[in-house]
Amino acid sequence: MAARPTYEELEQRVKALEQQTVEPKGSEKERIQLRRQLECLRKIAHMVDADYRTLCDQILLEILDMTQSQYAFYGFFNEDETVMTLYSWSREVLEECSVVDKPIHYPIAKAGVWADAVRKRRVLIINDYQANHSGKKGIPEGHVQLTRILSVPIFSQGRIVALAAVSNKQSDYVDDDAKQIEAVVASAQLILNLRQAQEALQESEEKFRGMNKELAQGLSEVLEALKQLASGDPEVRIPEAAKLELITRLKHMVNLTAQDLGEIVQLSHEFAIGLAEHFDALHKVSKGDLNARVTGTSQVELLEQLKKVTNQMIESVSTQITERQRAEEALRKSEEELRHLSSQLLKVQENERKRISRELHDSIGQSLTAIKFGLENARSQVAQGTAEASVELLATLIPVVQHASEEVRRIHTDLRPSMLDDLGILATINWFSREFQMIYTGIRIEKHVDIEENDVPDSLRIIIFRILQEALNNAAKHSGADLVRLHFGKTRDTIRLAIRDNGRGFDMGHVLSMEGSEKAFGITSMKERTELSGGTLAIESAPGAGTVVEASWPYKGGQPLS
Amino acid sequence: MLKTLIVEDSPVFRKTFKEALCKRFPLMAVEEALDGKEALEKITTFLPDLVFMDIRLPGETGLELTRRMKASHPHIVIIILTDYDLPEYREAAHDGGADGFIAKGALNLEDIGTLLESMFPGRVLDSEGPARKTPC
Repeated sequence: MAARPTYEELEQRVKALEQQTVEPKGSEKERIQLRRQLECLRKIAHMVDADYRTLCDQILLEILDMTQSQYAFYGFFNEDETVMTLYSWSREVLEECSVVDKPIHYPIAKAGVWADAVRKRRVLIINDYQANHSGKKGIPEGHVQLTRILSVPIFSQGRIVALAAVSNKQSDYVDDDAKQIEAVVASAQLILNLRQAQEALQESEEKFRGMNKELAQGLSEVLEALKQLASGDPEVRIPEAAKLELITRLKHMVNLTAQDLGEIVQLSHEFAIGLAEHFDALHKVSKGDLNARVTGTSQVELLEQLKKVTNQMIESVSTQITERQRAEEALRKSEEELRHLSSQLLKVQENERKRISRELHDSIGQSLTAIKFGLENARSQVAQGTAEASVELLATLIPVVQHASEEVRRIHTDLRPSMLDDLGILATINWFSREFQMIYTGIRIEKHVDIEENDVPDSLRIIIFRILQEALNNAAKHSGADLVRLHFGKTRDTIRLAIRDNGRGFDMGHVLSMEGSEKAFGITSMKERTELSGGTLAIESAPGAGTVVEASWPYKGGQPLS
Repeated sequence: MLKTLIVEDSPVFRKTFKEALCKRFPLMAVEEALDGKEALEKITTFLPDLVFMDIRLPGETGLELTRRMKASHPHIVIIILTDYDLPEYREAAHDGGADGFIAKGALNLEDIGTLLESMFPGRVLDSEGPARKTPC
């Protein structure tokens, strides 16, 4: 489009024409022509409300009238002057030319002879159109017949901006015709340019208003979408119909936000489910289900870390609880055993007292009663002067005293063999084994001692003797064995006592479960004695496989580690 | 005169045994000790020829005391007294250096006289000598 003209330019042009009219310098013909131009421009200038095309049509009528032509057209050029766009045609053309409804853009390169005015950049006058002119393209079918042509290019700032062409004047076209056209059209061009600018502005305003409307509509959609986003709906999307760049950007942002929000909601949902699972697992653990674990497949990193930590905590707690339960179970069992043992001990103690009481009464008590009776009798006899009788009586009392004395030693030994304190454990084992074989003649003892008396701590001697006593008594009472191998020795760091018989053996679990069983009590007693002295006791037995009782104590430099 | 020391923690047995020895063996001078410490003192002050040593004593056992006495005074005759006439005790007494072994249950003045006469010929059974000077 040509540079937009200003009203100031138009006013200057009109004033110049008025001045020439008021102060005529040329011939009468020139004054008439100037007056005609001035009237034309005033007419056009007063068409304030006319649109661009109406103005063009008016200009066309003016130049037809000025030149006494039959036909005319009036067009404008693009920036490089290669295409002309027709805005207006003469009424005759409209009435008689059947091609006017076709797109009226004329590429100059293909245009007919009238375009020579553009190509040669000067006014073209052809008064013998029917002659053979170079550049003629021929008349399209249905087009009006031409006889004469006047084609006038209109320049503005060195560039052809418009072209006005008239034809079929009754007489030949002359330069004055061209000048008239040029003067009117050049001046009218300012008005046209102004109107074109106004229409462009109006069109722009309408377009802007349309854009505003579209923008408002788009913004409304954006706001609606944002509102939905704010309410937590991740599915919200802005329609693709929004074309404005701003709306497009906003739409992109909102849709991205919606996508992000959707992901956030999804992650939050996943996180919430994961957390619920954590709490469920922890709840189960708190209720005692130590096998509960978090097993979800969450992709939330924090949740994954939480899962690991939770499971580690549960495993730790499970282990601790399991260990505590084991410890409590062991403690409970130990307490039960202790209670049972205490009960058994009380029973054994009472039985032992009963036995000792009976023995003291039956043997020593009776013997002392007999001795007292004999002594009193002897004294009586001496008093009566029968000394011989008293000597005989006293002689009978000696075996009674002897018997009583032996009974005391027997009871004493049963309670605790003096030999253990007088001579030590090795002599006591020797003595006890011999005594045992004298009582249980069907059982042979193979004794192997590989330790010095001084290697055995004082505190262990009675323990070792009691275990030996219990193991041998069990072998004699229950095993049916005919051979017992006894080993007592030490290694670099262990004192070890082992008693192995070739008897029938027994089911350890069964025996230990027999509450009140003398054998079970004996086994428990051995175990207690060993462990209380810092050692360990192992009993291996199975039906038909004999029994091995093995007690051991840590040893270092003559003192038990306990 | 035969100087005899009885090492025995039981006062009843010590008194009875001493009285019996004094009565049966007039030439014998008898002293008493209730434990190892007193016994070792008497060894140096009383200078006994013969010791009747009980095995079970407060503190040091009779067997350990025997071993020490024999180490310092090998000429003193030591006879072990015990309640138990068992091979282990006899062996222990022998290993400890004792010269004789008598079970208390079998204690018999006649047997003791025979034993001492073999050990101290002419110093035990002479009842006509000035034995009454002893504390018995």
